[in-house]
Amino acid sequence: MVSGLALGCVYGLIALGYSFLFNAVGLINIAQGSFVMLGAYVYGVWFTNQFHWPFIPALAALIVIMGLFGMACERFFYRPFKRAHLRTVLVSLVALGILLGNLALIIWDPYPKGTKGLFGQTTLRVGGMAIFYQSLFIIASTVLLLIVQHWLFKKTTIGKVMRAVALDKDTAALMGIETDLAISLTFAYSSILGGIAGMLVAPIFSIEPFLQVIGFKGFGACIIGSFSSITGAMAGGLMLGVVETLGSAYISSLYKDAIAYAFIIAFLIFKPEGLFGTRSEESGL
Amino acid sequence: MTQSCGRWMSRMAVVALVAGTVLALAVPASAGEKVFKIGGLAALQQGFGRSMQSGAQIAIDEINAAGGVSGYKMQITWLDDETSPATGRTLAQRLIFNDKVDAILGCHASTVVLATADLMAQNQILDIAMGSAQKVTELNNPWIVRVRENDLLTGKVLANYMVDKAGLKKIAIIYMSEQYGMGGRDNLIAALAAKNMKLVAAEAHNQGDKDFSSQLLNVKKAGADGLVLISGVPDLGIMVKQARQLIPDVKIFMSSVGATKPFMDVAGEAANGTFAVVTYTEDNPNPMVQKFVQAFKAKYNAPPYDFFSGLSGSACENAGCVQRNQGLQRRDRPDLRCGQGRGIGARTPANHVREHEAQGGCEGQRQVVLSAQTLRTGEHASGMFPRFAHRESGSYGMGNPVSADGVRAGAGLRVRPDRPRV
Amino acid sequence: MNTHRIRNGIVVALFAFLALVPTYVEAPYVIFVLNVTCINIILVLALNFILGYAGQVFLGTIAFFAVASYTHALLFAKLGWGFWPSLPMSIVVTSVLSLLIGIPTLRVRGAYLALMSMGFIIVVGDVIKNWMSFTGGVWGVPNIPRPDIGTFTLTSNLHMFYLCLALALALAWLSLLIEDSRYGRAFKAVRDDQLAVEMVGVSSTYVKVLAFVLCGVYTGVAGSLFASFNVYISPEIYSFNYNSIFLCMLVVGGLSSVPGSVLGAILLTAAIEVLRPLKEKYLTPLALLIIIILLFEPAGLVIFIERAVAALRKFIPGKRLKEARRG
Repeated sequence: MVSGLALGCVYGLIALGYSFLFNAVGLINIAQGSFVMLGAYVYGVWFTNQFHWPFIPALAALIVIMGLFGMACERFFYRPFKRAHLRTVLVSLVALGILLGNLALIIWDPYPKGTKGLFGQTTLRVGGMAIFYQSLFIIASTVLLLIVQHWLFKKTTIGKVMRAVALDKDTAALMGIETDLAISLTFAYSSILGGIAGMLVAPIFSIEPFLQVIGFKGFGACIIGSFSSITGAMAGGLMLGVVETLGSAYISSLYKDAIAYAFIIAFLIFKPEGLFGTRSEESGL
Repeated sequence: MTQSCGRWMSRMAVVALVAGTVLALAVPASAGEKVFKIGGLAALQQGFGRSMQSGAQIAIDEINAAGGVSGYKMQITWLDDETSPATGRTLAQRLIFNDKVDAILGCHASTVVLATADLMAQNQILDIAMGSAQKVTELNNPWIVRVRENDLLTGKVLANYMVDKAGLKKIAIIYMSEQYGMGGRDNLIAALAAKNMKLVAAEAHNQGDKDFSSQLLNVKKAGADGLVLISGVPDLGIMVKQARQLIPDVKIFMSSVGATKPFMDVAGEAANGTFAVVTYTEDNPNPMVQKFVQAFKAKYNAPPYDFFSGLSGSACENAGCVQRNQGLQRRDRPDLRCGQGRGIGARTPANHVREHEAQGGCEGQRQVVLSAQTLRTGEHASGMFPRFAHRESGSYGMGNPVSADGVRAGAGLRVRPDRPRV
Repeated sequence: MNTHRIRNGIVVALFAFLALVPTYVEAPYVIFVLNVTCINIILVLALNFILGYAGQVFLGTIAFFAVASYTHALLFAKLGWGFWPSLPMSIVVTSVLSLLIGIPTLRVRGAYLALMSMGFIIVVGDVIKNWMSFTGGVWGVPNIPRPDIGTFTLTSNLHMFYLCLALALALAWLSLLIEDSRYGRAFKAVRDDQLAVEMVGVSSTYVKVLAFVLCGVYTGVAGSLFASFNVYISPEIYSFNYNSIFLCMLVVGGLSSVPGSVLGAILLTAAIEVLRPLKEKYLTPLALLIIIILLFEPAGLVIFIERAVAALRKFIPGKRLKEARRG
C-alpha cells in the first residue's frame, strides 16, 4: 500500500510536468517520459555511480542540467512549430521521444543499471510490513517539492510571470511580459520535475531506456486528475499508483498494466476533464 | 534555417536515401582472401546482444591474429533484430542472401531462433543459437546447434539442488511471462515432478514490471522456503531487491541471468546470498576462462558482463568445425578444421554440483553459483553429433547436450584444452 | 483535375517501379524486402485514413495489425482454413475491432487520443501474450502456410510479391477513389474544421468512425499477408517502435496523400534496410528525419515529386498550345 502511494507520488510528479506545459502552452509533452529517463540516467549513472557526488550537489547539478535541457528542447522542438498544426507538434514530440531513447542507448550502453540511492535497500519494519525507506523518501520529497513549488509560484516574480503566461499568453504579452522567456522557463521547470522524478525512481527501478514508458502512466495520471490544476495532477497520480498496486494484488498481476490503462481509458471516455478539472477546451483538433 | 535551406536538406536526404539504397543492394565484391563469414543476429539494443558482440569480437581477433583457421580469416557481421521474429527473419534473409554468410550466430531470444529455423534448414546454414528454450531442442533441426545450457537442464539442476542438497520443501516460482520465463517454469515443474514435488506457488509478471509486491506476498502466503526467479535483467534485479525486503527468509534461486553483472548492478546488496545456475563465471579457475577474461578486460576495460560473451566467442571459433563434424557441409562453403577448444564453460566431473562463491558485481556481492553439471543418462548419441533432441548428457559449456560418447566421437565443441584438435 | 491526374500518375509510377525491380535486381533479399514494402504500403494507407484524412492522432494501429495477423494465423495455421477464407475473416474481425475502438475515440481529442492509443497497444499486447491457450502466447504461431491460388502455393517470395503488389495496388486505387468521392471531401473537411463541418450538416461522427473502419479493413488485408509471408508471428513483433515507423513513413511521404503514403512506405522501408549496418542506432537518423521533414516540409516529400511533375508539364509542347488556345 505504501509502495502504491510512493509510486503514485512519482506518477504525480510526472503528471505535474505535463500539467505545467499544458497550462502554459497548451502542449502535451509526449516526451516527458524521456525527461524522466534522462534524469535517472544523469543522476544515477553520472553523478552517483561515476562521479560519486554527494546528494545536495548532485541534486543541484541535476536541476541545472535538466533545466538547460528543457530550454534547449523548447528552442528546437517547440519554437519552430509554434505556428504549425498541433498534429505536427505531437508527431515531432513522438519523434523526440524515440530520439532520446536511442541516444540514451548510444551514450550509455544498453545494460540496465542500478544505483544505490540515499537509503539503499533499508526498510522500516512496521507491524509485519516492511517499507522501503526510499518509498518514504519519495513521498517526503514530493511533499517538500510541492511546498517549494507553491512558494515559487505564489511569491517569486518568476513564478508569477510563468503563471501569468499560463493563464493568458496574449494578455501577458500585452502587459509587457516576455512570453518567450516565460515559456522557456516553463519548459525548463517541467524538465526539472521530470528529472527529479527520475532521480527518485532510479534506486527502486533500474536505469534503462525502457524507463521512458513511465511517461505514459504519468500522462494517464493527468487525465485522471486533471491537466489544469496542480492538486488534480497529484491526486490523479496517487490514484493511479494505488489502483495499479491494488489491481495487481487483487485482480491479476499479469494484467496489471492493462488494468491501469483500462482505468485511464475509461476516464478518457467518460470524464476527460479529469476529476478536478473543469470542462474546457481540450487540447485537440 | 531558411525555408529554402530546409527544402534543400530534404531533397538531399531523399537523394542520399536513394543512393544508399542502390549501394546497399549491390552485392559487395568478394575479397581476394579466404574469409569465413559469420552473421550475428542479436538484440543489440539490449545488454545481452552487446555482450555477444564483444565476446565474439575477441575470439575473432584472436583467431585472425593467429592466422585464422585452416587458412580462413573470420569475419562477423552483426545486425540488430530487436528480439522481433519478423525482423529476425528479415535479417536472416539479408545475411544469407546478401552477405552470403557461412554460419549464423543466432539470437539469444528463442523466439527468433524458432522463427528463423526453417530458413536455416532450407538454405543449409549452420545456426549457432543462443536461445535456451526447450522448444528449440524439440525442433530437431539438424542445422541448429546450441552453445548454451538449455532450460531443461537448468530446471533439473535447480530441482536437484533445491530438493536434494538444500532440502527445501516448498518451492515457488515467479517468472516473466515471456518465452524465457514460461519455458523455465514448465521445465521446473517437470523437474520437480520427477521428484514427486509440486510448486506451492507460481506467479507471473510482465516484462518491464517494476513492482512485485503482490507476487511476493502470494509466495509468502504459500509458505515457500525456496523461490525460483526466472526473468530478465532489470526485472530480476528489482525483484530480488523487493524479495529481500518482503520475504527475507526465503532462499532465492535464479537461472543464468542471475549471475550476470547487470543483474548485480541493479540488485545491489540484495544479490548477496542468492544462488544461480550458470555455465560461466568470471572467477572460474579454469585457465581457459581466465585467459578469456583477461583478453576481454584488456580490450574493453571492463570484465565481461555475462556469459554470452564467452559463449559467443567460442561459438565463432568452432563454427566451421561443427559444420564438418555434423556432416553439414556444402560444396561452396569453407571447410574448417576445428579450433583449439577455447573452453569457456565450466568443467565439472559427472554428477557433481560445484558451488563456489562468486565475486562479482559492483559491490562485490557474494553469490553461490551452481555451475554446470554433467548429467549422464546413459543414452548414446548415434554418431550424429549435437542433435540435441532428448539426449542429454555431457558437460555444459559448449555444444550441449551431447552424449559423452558422441562427443568423443570427434565433435569439435567439447571443452578439451588438453587435446589439440586437428 | 490536373492535380488529380498528377497524383494518380505518381501512384501508378511508384507501383510500376516496384513491379519492375525484380527484373533488374535478382537478389533474393531484395525480393524479400519488396514483399515487406508492399505490406508496409498497405499499412501506411490504413494509417492515412485515421491520421491523414480524419486527422485523429491515433497511434495504435499496430494493435489492429496484431489482431489481424493473429486472426489470420490462428484460422489458417491452427484451424486449417484456407488463405482465401481467412483473409476476409481477418478483415472482418479487424474492422469490427476498429469500429469498437473508433467510437470511444470520438469523445477524445488530440494528445489524449495519442495516449489512449499507446495504452491500447499495451492492452492488446498483454492479452495476446498472456492468453496462452488461445493465441499460443509468447511462443507465437509457427508454420503459417503461404497462400495458394487454386492448387498453386506461393512458396516463392517472388510470387508472393506479385500477390502483395496486386493487393497493394488495388487498395491504393480504392484509396484514390475514396479520396475523390464525397467521403473524401467529408474527411478533409472534418480534419480541418470540425465545427464548420457539423454546421453544414455532415455528421463528423460518422466520418471519423468510417475512417477507423477503413483502417481496419486495410490492416486486415495487411495482417493476413504478413502472417502468411512471415510464416511465424509472435507478440514481440507488435511493439510501439514498429508503430512509430509507420507514423514516420506517413509523415515523411506525405500526410493525407495516397502517393505520399506509397512513397513514404517505399522510401522508409529502403531506408531502414540501408541503415541496418548502424545496428541498434538506426532509430536516431530516422527520428531526426521525421523532425527535419516536419520542420521544413510538413506536407511530406511527395510534394517535391508533384511539383516536379507539374513543372515538367509546362514544357510539354502540346500543353502549351492548349493553354494558348484557351487564351
